[in-house]
Amino acid sequence: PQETLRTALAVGADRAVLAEVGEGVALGPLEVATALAGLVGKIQPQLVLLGKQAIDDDCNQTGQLLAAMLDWPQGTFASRVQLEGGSVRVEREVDAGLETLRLRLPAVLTADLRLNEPRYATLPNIMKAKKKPLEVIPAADLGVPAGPPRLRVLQVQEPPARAGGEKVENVPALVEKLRSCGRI
Amino acid sequence: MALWRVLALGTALGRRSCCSKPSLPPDFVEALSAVVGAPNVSTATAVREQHGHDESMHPCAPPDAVVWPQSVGQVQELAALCYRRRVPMVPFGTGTGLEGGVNAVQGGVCFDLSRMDSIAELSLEDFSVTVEPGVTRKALNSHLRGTGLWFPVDPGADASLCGMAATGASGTNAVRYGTMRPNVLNLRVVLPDGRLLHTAGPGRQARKRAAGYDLTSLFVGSEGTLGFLTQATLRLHPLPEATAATIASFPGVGAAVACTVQVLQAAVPVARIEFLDEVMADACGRYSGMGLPVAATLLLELHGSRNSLAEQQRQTEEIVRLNGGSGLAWAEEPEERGRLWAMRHNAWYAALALRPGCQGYSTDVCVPISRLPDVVVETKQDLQDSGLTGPMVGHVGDGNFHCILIFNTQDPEEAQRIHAFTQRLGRRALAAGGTCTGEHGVGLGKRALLLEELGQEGLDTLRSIKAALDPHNLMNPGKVL
Repeated sequence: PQETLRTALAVGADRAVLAEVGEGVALGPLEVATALAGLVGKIQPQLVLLGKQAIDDDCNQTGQLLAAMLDWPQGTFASRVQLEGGSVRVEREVDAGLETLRLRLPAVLTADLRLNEPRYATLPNIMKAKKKPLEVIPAADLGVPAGPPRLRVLQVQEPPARAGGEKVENVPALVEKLRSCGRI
Repeated sequence: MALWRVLALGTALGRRSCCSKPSLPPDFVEALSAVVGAPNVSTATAVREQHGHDESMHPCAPPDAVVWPQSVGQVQELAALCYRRRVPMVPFGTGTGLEGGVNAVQGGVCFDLSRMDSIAELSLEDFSVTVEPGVTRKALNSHLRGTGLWFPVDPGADASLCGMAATGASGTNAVRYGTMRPNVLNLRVVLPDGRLLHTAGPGRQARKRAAGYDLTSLFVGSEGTLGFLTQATLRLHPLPEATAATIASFPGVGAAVACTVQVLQAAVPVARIEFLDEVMADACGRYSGMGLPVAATLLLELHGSRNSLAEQQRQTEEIVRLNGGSGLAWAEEPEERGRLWAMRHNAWYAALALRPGCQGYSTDVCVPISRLPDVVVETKQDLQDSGLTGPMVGHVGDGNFHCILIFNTQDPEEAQRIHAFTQRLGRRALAAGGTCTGEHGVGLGKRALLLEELGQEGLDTLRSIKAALDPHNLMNPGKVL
């Protein structure tokens, strides 16, 4: 996890915080949002930028939960962000098209793919990143409960492997095949 | 040579149609299955046809079977098997070559190596990494994100890196970072009889070595005729701290090319310097909706630290203005630069859009920089005299340019003019002390020009080497020699 933060520092962030949880502790969106809310209490930012949907659990909940906890406005799936004095103008990618909102700061935003082109870290910046501040805080200090997670994964399985197609000689054979696998 | 085949104006020896039935004995196919497993062998027509052509105009020549080895041990076993039974073997990476390198003109077994796709031994201090044939250049750079390193060789397609090593590929960055040849440190080769060879010794990637004949360099550019490149150790480069790109338009081809020569002579370490003639500039501008002036154009990119970049920009601006160039707005953000280079990379499609319904054929000559202005101007005149549509695009920093000839395959008279033009162009480049192929390789179509380029002694030496490593001519027969 520290390496991920160092990469972020190399790409341009000024400082990093690692909220550490114990070994084997499961984190769902609620726990992550709680930790972030605790951090917001300490740092007092004007804007919180998150990803819209994590690639491990695909939940798409953390940003929204955080906004609710803080009672801040939220602009999710942001594809364009523009600061305007005490507010932020956000273009959101929604099913119907593009929705433009103006939110009063402080606000929570979650980023869509189209927001920007991620920068590459260069070697000089990677070296400078080693000196930038990285703070480690136990997650419990941020208010994350130590108790069992509210969500429990029961099962994860791959879809069945694709079987090869089969050619049949004629139409009667096709009908027979469809009948035998219960399709008709 | 290539166009004769395209237009079926004659039947060349060993030419196979797309509908030929596989002709391998069943027990042989079973033996192949025994090595890799039945799901990894195919004799289906569609699969064979897919593996019988690349992105060139050479007609499809399907192999008799396609196999997908999963490990180098399997490649060795399969090769030994084919060698024993004297069956031709054709290596296959991404099938994105431009000279018919994967066309199985004598049938045989196509080894599709794309399932072997590990990236290993990444060393951030030594700037090296080892990749198997299934890894493409974009996949590698994606993997390297966050390390501060990159692999700069960038041919148009997202090609297999081992395939790029096999064809000695090059790209827009070659003028500063080199082609594949200087960037391959070691190759793990399966020889035609199944033996394993590490060209610089197993597990070694010294940045320089003087230990024996340079086998790595021998196999780079061998186009699958000497063995299977199952793993390549590559030299990585640090990402530039600052980058700036720009477009400059010139009053004529001569001015644009002269500007290039002067930029190089002023020792500006330009990272990319690409030329578009006015036809290409117009086509690209319209295709990507960017509206370029219809004039000879240069696209330049500079890499460096913040300070050195500013100096390079100053020097470049001065030289461009000296040659009557205009329009130097520098793009520094990745999004802007991305748009600019995407416009350049779409040159092929932009050219095809000039004459819908036609096919394209790309020439690929490379001449010494000092002769570049003359050769380009003469070639443009030849294009006009022959009445051909052939927008030009080129890596002028290396003296390498391509005419993308757009022609109607149904018109034999135009085909004759194209054939004559490409022969003249090849010979013009050779007469200027250059080469008939800067980066695409010899493949099927340039074997006659290779003889003129190297001379009989050169070709005989190549043949001796081929005979020493592949005495039964089983590795990709019909190519290069």
